[in-house]
Amino acid sequence: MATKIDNDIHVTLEDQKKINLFARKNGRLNELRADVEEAKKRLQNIEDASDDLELLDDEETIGYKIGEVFIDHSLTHTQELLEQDKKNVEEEITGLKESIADVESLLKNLKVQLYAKFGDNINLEE
Amino acid sequence: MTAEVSKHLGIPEAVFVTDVDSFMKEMGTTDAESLLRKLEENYQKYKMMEITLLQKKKRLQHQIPELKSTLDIVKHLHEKKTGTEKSNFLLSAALYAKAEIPPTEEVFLWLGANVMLSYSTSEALDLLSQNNKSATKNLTSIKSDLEYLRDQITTTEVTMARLYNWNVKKRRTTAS
Repeated sequence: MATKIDNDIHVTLEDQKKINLFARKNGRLNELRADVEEAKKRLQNIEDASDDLELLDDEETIGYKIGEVFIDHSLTHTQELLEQDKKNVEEEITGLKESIADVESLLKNLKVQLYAKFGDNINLEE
Repeated sequence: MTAEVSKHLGIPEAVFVTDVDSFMKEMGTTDAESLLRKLEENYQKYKMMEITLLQKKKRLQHQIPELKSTLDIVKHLHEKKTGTEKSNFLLSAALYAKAEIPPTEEVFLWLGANVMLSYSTSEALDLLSQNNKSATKNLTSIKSDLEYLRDQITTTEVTMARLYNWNVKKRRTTAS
């Protein structure tokens, strides 16, 4: 984030706090977005695995990774485990998306306030 | 700069300058450049602390999934009371060997420094959950320290920009 403030406009502590909050939440937003991308990738992996399992015979045993070890499971049990994983990741993504929406609206609000006061003298980058 | 010791690892708070003119008077100097250098110095210090904290954060973010995965397998062993478990385990990087795991009540945890201790599965679960909890707690506190540091960095950035502009303006007035 770049800030350039002309001296003609008086910067109050209040303004400084808003600028700080903006910078902080902006960093948080980038983090959250990265987290969502990462979670989406995990979800994709789980879905790919589920799709591939569909092609297998019911009698096959599948090595499902618990910790660092692949433990043999029946096909149906593996599918159940994957389903559970999928649910967890989906919940995680929903939570992250909610946080993103919250931070975004906060940033938008701060932007309006800061631009109203400083106009072109401040540059709030994402 | 007054150093106010805060709860955030004693990182000094960046002082907000309300009015540059009176701030300069207070500092008893008209030399904005030396003050700028001082601020720059503080700024670099903050940046150094940020790098250290970011490294700590990265280490924890790596450690937590590891703990979770150990916790998962111990939980699995703890719950499995009957029947042999057929498994493929990691023998070496990208090499897996087949193993049958009979029900067990005992696991060995690597404590570091070439020490391994045997634990009952329930004790191991307790210990790992405890470690996991404290790692998560540390991560949260590091995140909050980083946010605090971010604030000090931003404040210093803004102060430097304002002081710089103030100086430019002053020189322009003196020149004309």
